[in-house]
Amino acid sequence: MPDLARGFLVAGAVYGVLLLTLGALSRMRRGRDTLSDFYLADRSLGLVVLLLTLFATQYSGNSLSGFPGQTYREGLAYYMAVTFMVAIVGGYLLFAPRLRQMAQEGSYLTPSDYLRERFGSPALEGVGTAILIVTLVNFLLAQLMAMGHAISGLSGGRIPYAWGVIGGGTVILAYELAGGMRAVAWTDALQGVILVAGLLLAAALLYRIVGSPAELISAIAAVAPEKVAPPGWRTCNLWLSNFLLLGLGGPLYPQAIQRIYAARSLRDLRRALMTMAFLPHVAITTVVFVGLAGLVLFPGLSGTEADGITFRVLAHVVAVEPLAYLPVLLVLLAVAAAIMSTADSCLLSLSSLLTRDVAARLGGLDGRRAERLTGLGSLSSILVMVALVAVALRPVVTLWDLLVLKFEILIQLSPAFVLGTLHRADEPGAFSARDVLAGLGAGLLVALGLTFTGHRVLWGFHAGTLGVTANYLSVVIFRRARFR
Amino acid sequence: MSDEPRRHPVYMALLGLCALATSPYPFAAGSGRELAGLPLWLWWSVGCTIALSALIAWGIHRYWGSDGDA
Repeated sequence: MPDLARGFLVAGAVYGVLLLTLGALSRMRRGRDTLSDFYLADRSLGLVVLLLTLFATQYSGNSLSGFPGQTYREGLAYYMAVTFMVAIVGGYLLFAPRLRQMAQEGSYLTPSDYLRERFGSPALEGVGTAILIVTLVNFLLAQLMAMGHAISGLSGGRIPYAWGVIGGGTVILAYELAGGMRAVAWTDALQGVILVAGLLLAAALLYRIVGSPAELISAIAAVAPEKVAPPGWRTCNLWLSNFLLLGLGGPLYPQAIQRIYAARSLRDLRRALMTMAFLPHVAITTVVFVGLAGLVLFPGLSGTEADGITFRVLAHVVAVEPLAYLPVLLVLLAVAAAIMSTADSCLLSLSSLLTRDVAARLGGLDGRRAERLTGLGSLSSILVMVALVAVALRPVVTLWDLLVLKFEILIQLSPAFVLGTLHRADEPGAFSARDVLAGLGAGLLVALGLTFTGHRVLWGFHAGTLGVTANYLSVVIFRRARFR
Repeated sequence: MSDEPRRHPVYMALLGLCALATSPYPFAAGSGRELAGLPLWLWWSVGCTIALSALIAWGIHRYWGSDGDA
């Protein structure tokens, strides 16, 4: 059997050089020395780059290596992943049109700029910024750990975990410092192309080996009939809860919001999102297909063993079909690309929040003077990366622990964006900072209370979903009480 | 303020119904019927999810006003 690990080392090295080259090229295109240019590419992202950066950022390493494992464990019902990835695009409809308009008028750089201008409350701005920073630290750390595991695993252990984290982190930091958002978006575009090509090839290869979906499902029914049985009530509730959790929380990621700001024109943004609404039908359906193929090719794996099902299936494909060697390498590269493209976007957003919303605010700098803090922006990127690489080298939490709390907390900001953009601040009947803070408190209390008392999922509904329901109800009740 | 999808109650109601329908509640009782080799509940969810994508894309196209930002 051809040595996939050696091939990955060569392909990975070429890929790393390509990323650094794109970073260097993007530096030549840098315009004014301002935060808007560094963090938003001077609001110049056109349709193709915008679409690919949205795609590459939304599909993290978890989508490519975690979802197949989950499909292996839950069976065909994990088709729900396609639905909740579509829900993320639907979630934009609830606030993005108005937010985009406000961002254009107010030259927003970060999501906290919106909170500051719309609500005028330092308390809400502070809590909102803290939630966004905690979410990004959590997400970036998870990506760095996933990158270390992926590089170590894909290289057959030739590159140890620690060097995977350090090497990958250094490459990301280098191209990001060179070109800021422009570099991140360009490298995301390359990573997006690899992702799409890798997924399409994976689907074609699996079709040749395990047959059509109908044949595959028939084969699964023979070895594990419960995996293709109709989902019960609890699974249906979980499906709906995931839909709400991802649909309300996914578009709130700072890196997602900053891509709304960075679009060159509204027409490009609308076209990119219209295309994004259909991409899960190709990308995630393929990922689910990989997990289902694993059920037939490698039956009986335990819970944690199932997490590596993508790599087992790909190794099997190469063993059966040696001509698939190069396409499979591309798929492996796509896994690394998915992790890196999410990590670089998180790093850039985190750096922008620390520079604009923490350092500039603490230093009392206004918008125009804050725009000149590009040196501080670069320094914050370096400090964040060094600190998180250090934590990733000696992880005190598991990847799972990191992912569990992320959405439960982030989603509680949903009313601030969805209800807050319904009215202008000075409009009669507008939601106030107090309403939103009251809801935020109630939502966090319910979500974290349930999580820490061991009820992360109740009757199929996540603690975060129940928390955000309490949050919305509280905001509406407080507003009504205020007007009485 | 320019137009946006959520200002259209009929559209939002349709979107909500479609979103709810993606979860295969009608089959939760345990119907194991098949169509062309695939479970009927899967056809249902795939159909509703494609319809949801189409509805989202249409809403963006139809109701997300440009308001000078071409």
